[in-house]
Amino acid sequence: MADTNIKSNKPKNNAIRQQRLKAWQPILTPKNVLPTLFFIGISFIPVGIGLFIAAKKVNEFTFEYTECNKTSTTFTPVPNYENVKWKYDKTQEICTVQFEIKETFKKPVFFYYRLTSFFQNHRSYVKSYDSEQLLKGKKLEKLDSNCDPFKVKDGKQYFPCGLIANSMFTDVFDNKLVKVTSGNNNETSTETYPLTEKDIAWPSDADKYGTRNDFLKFYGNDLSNVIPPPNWSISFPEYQNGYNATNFPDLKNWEHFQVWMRTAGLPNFRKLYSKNTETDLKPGIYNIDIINKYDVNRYGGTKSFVITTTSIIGGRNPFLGIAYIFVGIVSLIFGIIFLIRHLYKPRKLGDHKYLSWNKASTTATNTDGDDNR
Amino acid sequence: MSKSQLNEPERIIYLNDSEKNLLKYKKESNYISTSKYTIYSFIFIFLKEQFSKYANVFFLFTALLQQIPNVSPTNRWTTAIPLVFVLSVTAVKEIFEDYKRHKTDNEVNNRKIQVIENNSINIKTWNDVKVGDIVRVENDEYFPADLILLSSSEPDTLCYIETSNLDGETNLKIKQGLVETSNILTPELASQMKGLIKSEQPNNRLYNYDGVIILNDKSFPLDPTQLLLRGAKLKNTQWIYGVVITTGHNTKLLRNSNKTPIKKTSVEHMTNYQIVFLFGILLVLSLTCTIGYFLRQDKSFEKTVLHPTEENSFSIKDIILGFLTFIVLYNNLIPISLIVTMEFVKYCISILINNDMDMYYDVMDTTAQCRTSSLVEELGQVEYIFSDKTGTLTCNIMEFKKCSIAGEKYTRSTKKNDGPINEITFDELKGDLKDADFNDVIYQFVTLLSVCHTVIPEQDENDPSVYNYQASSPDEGALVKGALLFDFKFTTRKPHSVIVNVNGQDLEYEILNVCEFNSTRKRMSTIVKCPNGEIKIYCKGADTVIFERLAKNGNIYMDKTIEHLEEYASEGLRTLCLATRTISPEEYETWSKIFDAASTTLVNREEELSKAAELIEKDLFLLGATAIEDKLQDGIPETITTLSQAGIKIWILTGDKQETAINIGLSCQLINNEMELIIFDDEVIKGTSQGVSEFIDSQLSTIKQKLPKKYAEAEFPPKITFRNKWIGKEEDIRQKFIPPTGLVIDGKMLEYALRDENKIKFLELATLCQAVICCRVSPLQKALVVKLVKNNIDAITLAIGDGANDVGMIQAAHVGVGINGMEGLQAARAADFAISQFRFLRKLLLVHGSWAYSRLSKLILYSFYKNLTLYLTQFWYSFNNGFSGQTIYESWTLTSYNVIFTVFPPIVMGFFDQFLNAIYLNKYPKLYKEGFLGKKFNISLFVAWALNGIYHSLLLYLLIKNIWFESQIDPNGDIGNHWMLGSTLFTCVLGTVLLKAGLTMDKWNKYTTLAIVGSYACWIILLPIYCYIGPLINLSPELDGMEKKIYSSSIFWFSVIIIPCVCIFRDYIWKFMSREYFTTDKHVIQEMQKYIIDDYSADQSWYQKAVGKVKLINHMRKSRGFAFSQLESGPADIIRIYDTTKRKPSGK
Repeated sequence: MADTNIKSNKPKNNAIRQQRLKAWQPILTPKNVLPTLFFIGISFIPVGIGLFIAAKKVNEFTFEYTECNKTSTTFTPVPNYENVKWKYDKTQEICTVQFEIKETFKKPVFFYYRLTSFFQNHRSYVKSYDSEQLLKGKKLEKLDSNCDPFKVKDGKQYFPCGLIANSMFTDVFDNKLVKVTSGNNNETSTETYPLTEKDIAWPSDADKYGTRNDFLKFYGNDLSNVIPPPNWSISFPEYQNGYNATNFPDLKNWEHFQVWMRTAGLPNFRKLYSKNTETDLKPGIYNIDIINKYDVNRYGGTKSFVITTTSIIGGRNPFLGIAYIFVGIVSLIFGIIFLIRHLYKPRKLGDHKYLSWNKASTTATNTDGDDNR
Repeated sequence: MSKSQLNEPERIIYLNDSEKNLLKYKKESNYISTSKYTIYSFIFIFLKEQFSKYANVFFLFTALLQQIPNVSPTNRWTTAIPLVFVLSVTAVKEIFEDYKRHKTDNEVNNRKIQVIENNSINIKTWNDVKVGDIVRVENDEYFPADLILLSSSEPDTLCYIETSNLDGETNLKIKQGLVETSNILTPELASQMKGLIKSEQPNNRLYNYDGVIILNDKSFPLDPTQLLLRGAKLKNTQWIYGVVITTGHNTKLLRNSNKTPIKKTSVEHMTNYQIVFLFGILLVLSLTCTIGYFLRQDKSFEKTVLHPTEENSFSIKDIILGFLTFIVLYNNLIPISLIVTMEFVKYCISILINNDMDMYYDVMDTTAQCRTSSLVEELGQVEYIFSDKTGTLTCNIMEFKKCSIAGEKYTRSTKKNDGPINEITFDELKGDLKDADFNDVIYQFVTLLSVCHTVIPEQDENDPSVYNYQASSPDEGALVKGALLFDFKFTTRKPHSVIVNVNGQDLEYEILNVCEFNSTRKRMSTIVKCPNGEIKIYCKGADTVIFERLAKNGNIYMDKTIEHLEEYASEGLRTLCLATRTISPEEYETWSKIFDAASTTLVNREEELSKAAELIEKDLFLLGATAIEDKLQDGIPETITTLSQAGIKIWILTGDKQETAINIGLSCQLINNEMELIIFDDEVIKGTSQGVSEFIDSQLSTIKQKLPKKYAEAEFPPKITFRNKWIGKEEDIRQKFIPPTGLVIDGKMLEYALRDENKIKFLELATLCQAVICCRVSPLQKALVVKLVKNNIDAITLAIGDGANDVGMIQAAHVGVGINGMEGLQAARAADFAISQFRFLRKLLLVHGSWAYSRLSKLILYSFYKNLTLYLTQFWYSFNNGFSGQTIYESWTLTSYNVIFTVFPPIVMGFFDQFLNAIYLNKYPKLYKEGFLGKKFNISLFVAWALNGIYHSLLLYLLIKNIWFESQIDPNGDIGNHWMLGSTLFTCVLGTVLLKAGLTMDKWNKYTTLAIVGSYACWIILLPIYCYIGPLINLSPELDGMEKKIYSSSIFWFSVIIIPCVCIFRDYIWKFMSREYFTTDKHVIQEMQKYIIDDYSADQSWYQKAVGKVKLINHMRKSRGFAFSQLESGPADIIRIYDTTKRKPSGK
């Protein structure tokens, strides 16, 4: 080749090609492991304690009223609960719960309902809705098949279609807690603790739903072909005879519906029902009326309501704090063990005596690469 | 070949009748192709190959499953799109690699050749050459096809060819055309030739040929002497004319080169098994979930909430669909990106190998070439090296290095201060030649060098004072060139005399007789009549045979010479003794009659000639000895020592003679004087299979006595136990119990040893020896030896060679390495790796191999781990979602895990990770053992990593489940939903696996840091953007509104910090503890590297080596290699008819 003098194949001498990039060799030695462990210990424990205290500071009252419909018409004490009584009005399906708040619940106070063993995260459940229908209405023929089995009945479309909407939680909690003035069970005062049902959904949720007018515009006057989900016809008295121009759901302003539609990730979940951000909940005995329509016994679940304040991490959940404390402590323990061992019997780093071929006594070599696990 | 051709005993080729030839050999063209694909076959072959990988088939299956409505829990394109992506990346790589092959093919196919057509010469390309064409080949050109030599520019239709591409030998071979065709000297004459050639059917036997040429109805037999093979090169002959008999893929060369086998590495094999294993896990998980799903159907939630309207809604179809759903859900347990990442990383590593400056050979301006990038990690696991000798260990340059004349040592001084001071340089010798009192002895010595040989001189065309010597043995060439140093210039060879120019004066020595060299005689002598009329016998040969024939009295230099010979031999030089005697005319007269009679006998002629020679080769006077260096390549002894320290067993397979091979073994320190040599001696064994078998048995039983019982009685070959796959192999330490032993066997004995009944015994014996040398082996035997080891021992083999004769073994071995030799690239082309010098093997294996192996094993194990960790959280989640197959993560987030967020850490791991840097890997070759023992990639490690993944995923899920606290996670009282839970968990998983990546890497540079931190940052930045854009374009409506919630919730941040910490805590502590309390060599050396700690113990090995060398020199050796590598049935006859003064035939 004539041009070998000019064109050389000599590789370029740069760090990447010659694999000499500047690099840090992370070697775990007592010098860096011990400080790390102590640092984790020292920083995690206070954080954990803080979180734990924050969780403990949350005032919470939870009451499971699943069996309320089996109780008598007069206030009777609830088993397993202290100072809680309940009664049930069979004709009106109203469950009244009387409970005692022992400490002041600092505002804001939130009212949740809580369901267990309800698989809002079931695969056939999660996807069973039609977002377009909820936003502006949709023609039956275009309706998402995910809505089955609550998509269509006798040529009429369910509105809203799908499992989520149909299984909506339909118990109604009174928008106030009524204070009982004395120990007398029947004597109620006019002093109430109001609860508002506004702003309970995510602010963004409203954008996903249409107003009543939007729907009326889409479906026109022919509302006979749009029917409420079967459960709604039973639970909501106003939908017993189907839809009309006045009772058609105004989804955009129906926050309970929006809260329900935002499916929970785990089978035990709480959903916000109402709240009071204005005033503290004073100690005392309160009554609340619940219109009991939602059947949880059919699937073996329970229903409860929760009155609670919140902390930085949400509810009265000590777990996170404990986790931090636990990691901190374990880290400290290991740190101390390693420290003692290091002080008592330090290992010289990079000592060639440790090389297997320099160890005269041992013949077998121990060169497993096990620490990659 | 079609059937009809098979049945035909011979091919008939018509001379100058292209129509008839064309009719017959229409389908045969000289076009060759080594490429894998053509434009048309690409898609077909490529897809076939890709879908032969289990993983790809599986993903295709998954992608199809997802198309069934209602089966997939994720978006239906989430597997198809990555699969197409992965396949296209592979396709681009394949196209790129094949393009290079096409390019080299084109280069070969488009070489120019002169073809005679209608009285004139046409220039054509090689691929246009057809059977029956008459071609003219010029000096230094390669033959385009297999040719029959018709005529040449040299006298007596001789021509020289060089066949290094075929057999690795660089010495010239002589071919001679038939007298009947020797007159075809012009294109016109060639065109007028009439007749036909009956030729044998194409085959792969390089040294055989049978054919008949029929000219004017007379037939003349053709044999290999007339055959010029494709791949050989015309040398020292201006031109030749030849007829093409076979072309293209039918030529003997291409018949010999098997289609490059597709080699799979053991790591790939195991990965494939692991993928199958993961598939098993996947089935188990899916089955578990299906059972759960089935059992839950009676649970009232499903009945009342999900299927309130349907009666008996549950059917077999649901179970099957459910099962398929779970398969889709967990399909990414098998990392889709693994195979493409692996290939990409291997390709990158191969580029790094190509770019290594330490493996750049500036003399030839060549770099290392990694031709099969898929084998890089195998370089780190080599346990057996099979090396060629000539051109691989040696430079194939012989140099007249030293001589001992009349008891004085002379040495060729190349540099000052080079060599012992008590030796006299050649320059001084020239002075001694004039005035020393023993100058006559020197004169005789040099005369012998320039007279007694079979070398042909050739005057250089440009500079008439310079002569090139054509020697069939490089040793002889070196000797004649050695004489030049003393101004004895051999200039002319005539049939009966040679002319030597001494100090400007031509002296003609009449050559009366030549007693040829052969392996039993081990000597050659020439009887000459000197210019002064004296008749002398000049004899050179191995020391033992010469000493036997010396005169009893008067050999005053004998003792000194023996002393020098021993010295030379211990330096690894090849020695020859020179002796002479003056013969009285009467004695010659009587003897020459005996000799003439012997040379005309028909039966046992060779024996008769030997007997005759014996009569005259007696009472010789010892002149001295020569020492020729078969120059080793640079750094061979060091490389071999280092590689042996690394635990690699090196076998030399050479075509050379036994003495030469042992000699080289000595000089490259593969064997030393302390070693006991087991030599398969023809005389003991008597050349039968039975004999070989008995010999092996007796040797084996002697050796086994020294072994501990455990090893002596162990089964051989050792069974591949589950343990081998589980924690890697046990080191073979049998050799430690027996004194160092070497095994030497030649091709003839090897043939018996390789027979089925002997081969396992032979292998056992060979593996007990520290050094194995096979000499005089054919290319096929080389391949058989490699296969013997490869097929019976669970070890990775590497074959290294430079010539076409090594191609067989290069292809047979797991890893083939070719030397980019001086001549011929045949080996380099067939090889997986090509390097320019043997010593580069050290860096290639110890550094690049170790790195590649460690990198790839990390990459693979980590890829499995990261996928298990993510996808098993889905499994745990199944227990909380009624085994419905719901994903906790949003579909595209899930998909992007494998193709975006965790794709870079494995890549940087594969590209940059160095558990030790090059210097330390070089310094501590013993670390290499981990590679071939399979310590870094085995089932136990895989299980460990998998368990780690299971542990992490369980921890991740349990922690997030408890932290999530029934969705009440916002100080504003708002609830978190399903997708927020998923995204938080995803962030934790990502944090955990990235921390693990950081912990796994032994070296952090800016790119690795960027890959790890960057992947995390990328997710953190992209998540809100995706939450915003995803719902807008209807890609992920479920994420709507989350961008405002997730980062403002403190529980997200607290989880993201604590969960990965908890998960990685065990790994961190474990890694620290294993370094601190279970320290291994790797740990210690890593610390030495980081804290720059000197290791004096490593330097001791140099000291020991130096001691060993001194011992070596002091030690006396009984047998010495001697310099005669001439072919036995040598060309002496042909050479003796040679006359360099004769006018060459005219013609063009």
